[in-house]
Amino acid sequence: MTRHECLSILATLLKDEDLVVTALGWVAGEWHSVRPKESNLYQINMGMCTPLCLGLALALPHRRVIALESDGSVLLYLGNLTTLANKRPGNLTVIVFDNQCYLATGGLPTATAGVTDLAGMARAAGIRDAYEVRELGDFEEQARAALGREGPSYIVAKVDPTGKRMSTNIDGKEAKYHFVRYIEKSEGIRIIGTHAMKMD
Amino acid sequence: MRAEAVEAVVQGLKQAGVDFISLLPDSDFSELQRRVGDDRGFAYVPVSSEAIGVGVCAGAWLGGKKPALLVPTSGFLVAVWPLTSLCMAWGLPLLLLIPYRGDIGDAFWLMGPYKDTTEPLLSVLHIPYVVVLNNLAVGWIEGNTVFRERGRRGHGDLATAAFRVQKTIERQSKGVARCLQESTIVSPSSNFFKKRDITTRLPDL
Repeated sequence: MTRHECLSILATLLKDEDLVVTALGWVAGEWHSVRPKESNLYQINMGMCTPLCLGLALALPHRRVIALESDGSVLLYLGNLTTLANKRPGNLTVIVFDNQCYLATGGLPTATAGVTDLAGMARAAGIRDAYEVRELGDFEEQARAALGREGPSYIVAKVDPTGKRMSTNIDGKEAKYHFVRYIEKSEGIRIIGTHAMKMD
Repeated sequence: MRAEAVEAVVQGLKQAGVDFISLLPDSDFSELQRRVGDDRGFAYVPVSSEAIGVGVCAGAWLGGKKPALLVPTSGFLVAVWPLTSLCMAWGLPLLLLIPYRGDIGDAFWLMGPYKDTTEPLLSVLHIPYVVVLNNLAVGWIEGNTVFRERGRRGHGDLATAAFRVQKTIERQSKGVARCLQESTIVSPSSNFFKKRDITTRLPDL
């Protein structure tokens, strides 16, 4: 099972208005290739994708928020599992593509290549709906279930240590403006204020 | 932190439009933390690491909230990396509130290094900040424009208020007085037990 295969399935399950945030690494380009929407935010720094999605989900509880995480990113701030479990955002689904290595930086193994079980840790932290999947059919089943229920849901997808280096053709700041303007438009709110130049 | 100071900060936050607060419990801000945790006017997200708090606040801002992060001086150091790589790199505004520790007379020996690091680090990171004395916090927070106009910028997106609360001021003056009496200088390396003795004899402000 590859991450790109999973992403291709996930893209068919989402609505245009679903907010999707990707971690740094090849997942960003791969996701852009299958669902290039302004409701995507790409390349959030190591460890920050799930915390950012937690804040986003709490700010917009009526919108589905999906975090596309990696094992290396999650391992950097494991304490966030406890925050996620206690705040229980019902609209948040976290999908961790666990390739058991730091692929984008040379492929050295992560802790999940050893004995560490991320789904088990998530359950122990208090996230009831935390599951590990290894087959595409199971991924689709769990993703569909997660998107249809009150969350948070946590899916650890064990994927091959391979990927495609694909470009999003936009940097983070540009993606931020697209994303924020989309939220402003779809929510009818103002997030980035206008610049008023005082002449006197 | 005295009740009036807590209320002043809370009112300042509200007048600035802050509606989302993340924090890791800290002794200096404990009363303030309880107050904001009980206030339904704030979405409240306690975290296990200040770095995580930065990420949570960043997401809240993207969703239309106006976030603030309450961090101790030590936690500011923990938060520096995501402040740099997320807030500053992406241009995501965030208000930081940091208790001012480690000044002359601060009786806890562990606080000394934070006096040496907090303000210089804020300067190095080009984070605009003010040291606020007690109730002046209201005016500063209310008047800051971090959320109104800085959403576009990269470097100036963060604003920081370091609160030198009344309790610290009192400690400072008493600590200086004792220094003069004993002709010694209280420094971060001074004897811990002597400093603790000073602390225990101070009135609970």
